[in-house]
Amino acid sequence: MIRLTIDAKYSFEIKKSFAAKIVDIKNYNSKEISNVSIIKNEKKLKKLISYFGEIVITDESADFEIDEVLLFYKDAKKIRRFFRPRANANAILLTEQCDQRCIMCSQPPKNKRYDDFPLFNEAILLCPKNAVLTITGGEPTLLIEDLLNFLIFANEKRPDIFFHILSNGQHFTKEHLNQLSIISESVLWGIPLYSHDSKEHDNIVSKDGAYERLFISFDLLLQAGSRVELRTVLMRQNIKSLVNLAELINHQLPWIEIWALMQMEYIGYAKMNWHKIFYDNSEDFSFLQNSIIYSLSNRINLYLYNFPLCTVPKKFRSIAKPSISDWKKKFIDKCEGCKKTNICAGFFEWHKNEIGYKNIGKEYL
Amino acid sequence: MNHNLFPYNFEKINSKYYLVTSLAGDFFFCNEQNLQKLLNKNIDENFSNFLISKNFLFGSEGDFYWNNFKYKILKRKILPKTIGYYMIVPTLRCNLNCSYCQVSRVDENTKGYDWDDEILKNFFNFVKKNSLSSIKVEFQGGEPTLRIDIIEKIINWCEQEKIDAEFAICTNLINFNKDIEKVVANEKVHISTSIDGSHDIQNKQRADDKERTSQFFKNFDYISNKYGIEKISALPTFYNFDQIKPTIDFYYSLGLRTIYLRPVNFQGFARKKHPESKTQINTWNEYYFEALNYIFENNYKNKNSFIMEFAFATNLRRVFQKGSNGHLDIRNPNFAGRDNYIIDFDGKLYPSDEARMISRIGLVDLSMGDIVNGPEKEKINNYNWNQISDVNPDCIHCSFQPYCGIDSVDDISRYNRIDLPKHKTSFCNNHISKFRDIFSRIVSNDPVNIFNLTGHLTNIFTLNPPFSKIIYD
Repeated sequence: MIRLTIDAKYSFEIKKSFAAKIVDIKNYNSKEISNVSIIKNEKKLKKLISYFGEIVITDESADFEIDEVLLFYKDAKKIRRFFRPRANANAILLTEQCDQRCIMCSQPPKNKRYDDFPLFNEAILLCPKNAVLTITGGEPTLLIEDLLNFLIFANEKRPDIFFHILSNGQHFTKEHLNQLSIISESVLWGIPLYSHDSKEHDNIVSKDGAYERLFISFDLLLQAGSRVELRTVLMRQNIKSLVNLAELINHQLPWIEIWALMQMEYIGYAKMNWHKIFYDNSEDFSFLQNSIIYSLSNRINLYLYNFPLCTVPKKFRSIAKPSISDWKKKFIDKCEGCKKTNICAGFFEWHKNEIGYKNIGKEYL
Repeated sequence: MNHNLFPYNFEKINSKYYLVTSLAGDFFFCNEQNLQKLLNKNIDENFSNFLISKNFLFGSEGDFYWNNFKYKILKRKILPKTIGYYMIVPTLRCNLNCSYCQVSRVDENTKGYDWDDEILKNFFNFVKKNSLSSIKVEFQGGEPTLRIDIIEKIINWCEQEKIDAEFAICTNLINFNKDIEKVVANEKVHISTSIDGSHDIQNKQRADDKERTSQFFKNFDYISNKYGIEKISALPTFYNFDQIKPTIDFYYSLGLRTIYLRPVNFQGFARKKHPESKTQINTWNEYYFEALNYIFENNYKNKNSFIMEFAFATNLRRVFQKGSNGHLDIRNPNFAGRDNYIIDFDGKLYPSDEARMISRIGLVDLSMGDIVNGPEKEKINNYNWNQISDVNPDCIHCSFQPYCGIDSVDDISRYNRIDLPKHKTSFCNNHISKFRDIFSRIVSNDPVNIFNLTGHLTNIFTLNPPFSKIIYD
């Protein structure tokens, strides 16, 4: 597992949190040093030189990349890795607060926030060209005013940066329409919809009226020309009616860009509820097949996220994406010698074989 | 919610069911009793919920259902804003002389029917100005491989300019030399050829020379063995309709994945040598539907080899897949000068291959400018006004209007005019019977049909249907 926060000691007092970027010592010119430059001075790096002074890395495993963007916090002895150029995903965790209690939540809400928008403003200016940033939570749109202002700022200063924002879609209002239109091209909203049936959806997210509120947001997002990735985590609760959800999308939400069918993470509430909710697609793919065929027939752009390739029948493997972020991805004993790991989603770090898929391994490829 | 109905049309599909289609292309079937209820707006809660689920009802202007409906209409009509498709005629010369040649080709040794350096240079400038970084180029003729040098230059130029391009060479595959193979080996290059049937038929209808016909099959086998059958697509021409089934069998035996069943096109030499092709559309369609059934049953029986019929797949995708606006033969609006051009041997620009054909015989000049001086905007605009079915008095009452296309060129070609009532045209009759056939298959609930509907929509042949509840009883 790749660590996203690094322990460090500073040779100076940080008066204000700041963002900085790693540059190569070979290209370093003493006149160019600024508060946004950090020099990577060794191959196995133990020391960073900044405008303010030296920073000693106490973390053994730390290995920064050129052009990596780091956040240095005023009161903490930790460095946060904000943007890693080689990662397959870079995320800002905005808050751990949430107004839904989804039964399969991988990151149960806590009363903690990490928003520091002035610092994020600084950091995104340092990101490489065409960077893609995920914003996640908790529920990021609990801070919707600040979030939209940040996105407008980013869109103005760095229109090349693309955002993928995971939201429950409960907080958009008419007043946000104008701002949503301005940023529509550079943001993909990842929004969960679990069922065509309002009660079933509300039960899964443990919030009455969530479904109805969600469709008010969908209407606004359509009007704003926003790009939406619908996300449906598969569970025993919703697998049987999945094809009805496909039909709903075809007739009522035909403008969504992507429909992602997702397997669960064995962590958080999902771990607590695992035996009640886990749907093993390696044992029975029939409901999925029905929905996939319906969706492809009607040109819904559908993908499978977090599905190990060997649990998906051959003819549907092209829609199974390597969706698990590198820092929490692993392969298991059964994957040894498998030639498809480069295109396979793999498993979450916290995956447990004993209670996972029954039919996995090379013999099912 | 108030019961406001979006505009819809209906049509009897079989003895039991009517098809109801909305202007946005959503559809369902119901019996006469329920159709009456719909017409009288006598809609109970059950029916209302069904209609909402199919996006036939809205509460008030500008609500969620309204916006959705609006989106779907746009999606069905919108065309790309840049040119992504070029059909190029590097030479009009050909080494064959087929009786149904649609483009009135010239003899292999005639001078003055090839692209020159000036046209090539201007073509490159044109692509730079009018296209994004991804294009498709189809090489037509004449026999384009007579100028494999031009094809090679274009492919190299695209690579050099980092244009993500795909190429199709439409060739009779009589000559396949080292120079041609060098180009064909490129994985971005596909071959499209004509196979009318087994050796005897191919010989009779095409080369009229047994040795050359053998050469053709030798070349075909060589390419499919070395580069895979996916490298080649083939299409037959029929003027003896009894030949259709044996030809289909032959396509299965070659391992081809698609076949395009079409009659002789009433163009070029065919106008004189096959005058029956002007009016034979109804006879043709009888044979066509029989052939389609034949393919469907074979696909259903076979476990591993499936053939898709191209016309059926194209029309079917127009029904199910909003935004399938890429085929000039069937789309609406069908504007010229928007996303494609045909560039003839002399550098003239045409909106479609058929437009090139009827211009060539002097029926009408449908060239829309040339590659050196650019498109003639005014002529294109005048032409485009007649390429919208939404303002045609016949089309707006048709249940198939959301899916169907419009093609003034076909009307001019057959009737020398574009203002004939649409229901009297070959284009209209042809497509009405094809869409009726599609919807009869959809409502049939027959496994053979479902298997093939899904297969033609997704390339995956299974018994999962491409629709859920579509009948309101």
